[in-house]
Amino acid sequence: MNGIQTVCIISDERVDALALDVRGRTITLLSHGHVAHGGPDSILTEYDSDELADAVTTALRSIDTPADSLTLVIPMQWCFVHRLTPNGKRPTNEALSYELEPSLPIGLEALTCVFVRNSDSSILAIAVPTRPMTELLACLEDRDVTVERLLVDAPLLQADGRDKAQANRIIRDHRWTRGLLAANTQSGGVIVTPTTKPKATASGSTEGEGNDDRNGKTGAITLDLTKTTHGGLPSPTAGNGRSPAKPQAEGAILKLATLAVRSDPSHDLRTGELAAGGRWDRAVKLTTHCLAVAILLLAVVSAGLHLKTRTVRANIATVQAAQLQTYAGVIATEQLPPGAALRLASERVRWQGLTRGEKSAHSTSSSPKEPFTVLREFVAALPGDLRILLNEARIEGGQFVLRGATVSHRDAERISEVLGTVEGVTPRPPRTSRLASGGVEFSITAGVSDGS
Amino acid sequence: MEANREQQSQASKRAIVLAGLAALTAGLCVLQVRTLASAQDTYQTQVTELATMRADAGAILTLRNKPRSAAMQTRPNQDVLAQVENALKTSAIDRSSWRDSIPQLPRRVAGTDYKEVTTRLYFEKLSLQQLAAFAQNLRQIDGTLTLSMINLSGRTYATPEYDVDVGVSYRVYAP
Repeated sequence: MNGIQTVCIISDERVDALALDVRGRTITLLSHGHVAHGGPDSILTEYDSDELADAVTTALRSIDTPADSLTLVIPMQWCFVHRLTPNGKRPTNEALSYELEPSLPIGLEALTCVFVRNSDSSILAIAVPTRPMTELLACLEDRDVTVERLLVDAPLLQADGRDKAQANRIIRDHRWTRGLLAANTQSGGVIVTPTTKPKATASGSTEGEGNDDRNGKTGAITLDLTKTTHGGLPSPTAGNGRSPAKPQAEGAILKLATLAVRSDPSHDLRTGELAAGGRWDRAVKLTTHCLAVAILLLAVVSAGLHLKTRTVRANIATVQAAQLQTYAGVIATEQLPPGAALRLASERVRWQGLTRGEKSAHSTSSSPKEPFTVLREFVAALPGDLRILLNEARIEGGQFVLRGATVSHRDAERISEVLGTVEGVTPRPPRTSRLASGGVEFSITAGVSDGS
Repeated sequence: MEANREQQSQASKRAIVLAGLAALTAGLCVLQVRTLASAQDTYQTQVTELATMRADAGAILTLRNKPRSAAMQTRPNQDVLAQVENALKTSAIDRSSWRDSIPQLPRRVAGTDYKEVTTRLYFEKLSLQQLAAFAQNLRQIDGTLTLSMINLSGRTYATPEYDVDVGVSYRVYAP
């Protein structure tokens, strides 16, 4: 796993962040920073994941090195560790889980387990409570910190093969307030338990004092890791000059970070419910969030549209009620018929036809002026000195025929002229003939139009 | 690893379900936008129709109070004759002058929405004054009735009255 690796180590008192440049077997420390933070004694203890995530984020910011991946190392006391010696040759993880379950103080379903296979066919079971870790990882995700690997510190140290000569080791630098015992048995098995009280010696080497540990079989050694180099790993310095750390503590941290980078994948607790999503999962998560927001927005828009539509429909109902009232005011009904507006328009046209004025209803361009009107206007227009005997008058179908007698031809002409003064009447020249008894008989034909 | 894969699969399924839900919600929104647009169109149409209906209703109520110049339908002939009798009575014309009445077939007045129904009436010995009074009174009694033709004849020096043949007509609105 070459490239720049970031390791974040959580301990009881502080959070360390280290940027390591890993090239083959050579590991170079690029930067190191830490933030003081009192983490919980046990992951089962109520604690503020946000606060711890803030501390991790701050520590990572302090090294300010872009990394390819982040490994988070959590303290041993957050986990349950148990050594299993299964009977079968290659027991499955499921079988190992069943074997582990009686040794656990809480239900297996609340834990995420990994099984580290030792060379002597014994198996180290590491179980971490899932929910609190999920919360912490989620808080880190919220801060754009994606943990690629999740490891536990003590099993990393016990798995380090370089110190096989040292059967037991107790890490008792200032990170560990209570101290930890990582015990390698002679047969290659491992027992890791937290010690009940801090050792009197806070730092420095005290080889040979391990007889007071509970195992009691072998001596306890406090490692001075500053003297250990791994492929050219430089001696550590206090990261970013934040707070001077004792060289031994820094050495232990560097040792742990190096082991974390090189650790076997079987140590990684990012499995099962704690499994890392990777880019695809992040993309899926982002998509899921976007979709959820989109659904929410669409639901709001949909609700708004629904309300608006309801309002418009209510307005339509109001207008239709007004239409019914208007319609019923003219034509008695209780229900608005289809095409009510057209019916009313038709009714209006009908009433206009029924009540059109005399001129309009009885006189059209194709119908002549009313006969009685023509006769009345003609009689009214006759001069008083004109003597006329009207024998016959017929006004019908646009024609006015007059037959009668008068004194002279001239008078017959005058009668025709008078007829011509009537509006809409167009007389032809009169036909006259003298009567034997005296006077002149005349016949006048005139056309009658509507007068307009 | 299997658990990891299962989690990824579940996350993907969740995303797919959400995508489906989002598509469904989007479809619902599109449907609602269309429904709203349709409802708004209907509302605008209804408002316009209401304005037209109010104008028409107002006009109809006004026209109903105006005297009619045409009938809605063909009237019974005795109804017309009854009006003629009234007019004769009002004009102080002796009923004995009225000799005959012959109803004509209705005919369409060319170029109009009306049909004309005429009844020919024959009178004996009517003066022009009496004819004028009759025409005037008939119009006043029934505004739809008019004299559509007049034929005066039989006037001599000895008899100053005319034999009168008139056509009493009314129009029926029949578009």
